[in-house]
Amino acid sequence: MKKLLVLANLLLLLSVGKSIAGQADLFTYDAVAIENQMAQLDRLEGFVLANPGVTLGQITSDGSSLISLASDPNGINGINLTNEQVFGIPGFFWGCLLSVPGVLIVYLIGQDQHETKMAIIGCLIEGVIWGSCSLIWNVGLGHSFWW
Amino acid sequence: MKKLFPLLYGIFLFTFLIGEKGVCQEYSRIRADFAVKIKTISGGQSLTMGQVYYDRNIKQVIYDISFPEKEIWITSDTLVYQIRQGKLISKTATLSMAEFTVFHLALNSQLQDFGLKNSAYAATDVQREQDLVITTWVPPAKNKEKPGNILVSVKNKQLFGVIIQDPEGTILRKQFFENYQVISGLSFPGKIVEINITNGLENYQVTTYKNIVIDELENDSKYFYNTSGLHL
Repeated sequence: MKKLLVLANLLLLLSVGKSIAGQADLFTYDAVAIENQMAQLDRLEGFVLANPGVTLGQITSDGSSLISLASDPNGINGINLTNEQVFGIPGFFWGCLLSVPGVLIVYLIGQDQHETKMAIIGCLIEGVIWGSCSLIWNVGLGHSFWW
Repeated sequence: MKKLFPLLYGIFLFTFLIGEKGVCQEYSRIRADFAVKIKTISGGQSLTMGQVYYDRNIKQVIYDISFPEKEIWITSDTLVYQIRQGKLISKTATLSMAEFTVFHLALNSQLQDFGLKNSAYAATDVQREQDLVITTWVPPAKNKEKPGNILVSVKNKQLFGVIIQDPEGTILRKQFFENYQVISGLSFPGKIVEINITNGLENYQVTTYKNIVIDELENDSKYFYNTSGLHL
């Protein structure tokens, strides 16, 4: 009986030790991986610091390679952390492939301002491409509208 | 020897008074340059930069954003106001109240326990392991439906990490407070790394604070924004 109690105590101590160790292990993260993830943004931050007062609009109009970094102001201390992509598909493709219904889907399901804006841009680009093609087909090649 | 004693007594008194002043020091304002970098699971990324102002008596967190576009964001009560060129662009509800921001907690010397000591959460377990002191905070019984436990770790008497779990113990969010700077006796993290976990996938947010100023006497207008006249 005494041996059993000692064994039970040992097991209890071991289990407590394990749970404590597990808790400390939780307070770790891969700092290098996160640094790598943020590398492009670090580059952009360096550019902004070197050019005080520069805005994203100015960078875009200058045609800088930094515009490949999507940027929106929804990033402050947990206010809105992520762009809500509908089913993981970027808003641009929803608008470009499905036109107005695509924009509606993004607006109603995603409820994300940035993604909806991208869907509208996609929709407009799709409209321009479609309009240009039909113009070439009708005027340039002398066909009737559809066939 | 007779001369040494008053000298030693004087040093002791001076040290004691300085120490007391340090303990009793109250802070009201904080200003800093900030940068928030976000990388999401889907590959989306964003950078927001500017200056942040906070006066703990006014309880408005005012972000004077310079990038990506010039805007002002104000967290006041449970609302976030987005203002561009003096016009209100949006007004949204938020759970991120001023009293639970790093600014308010630091100014009130409550950062070490993440402000949980003055909340409905209760500390049930305190463990020391390696250089960490880990406290487990549990939500009140009547609220057990939604939130889970919060684990808070302290290193060198400074808040190191916060882990928010769901009721089943799954980790929803990890926050790490690093690169502490001591300005006018106030300890404030220069870097906060946040990992938000959804379905096992991680979003990253890194916030940095530079050029921190405590209890600035000038720029009163930067610490308060009259939101009563703002309409959509």
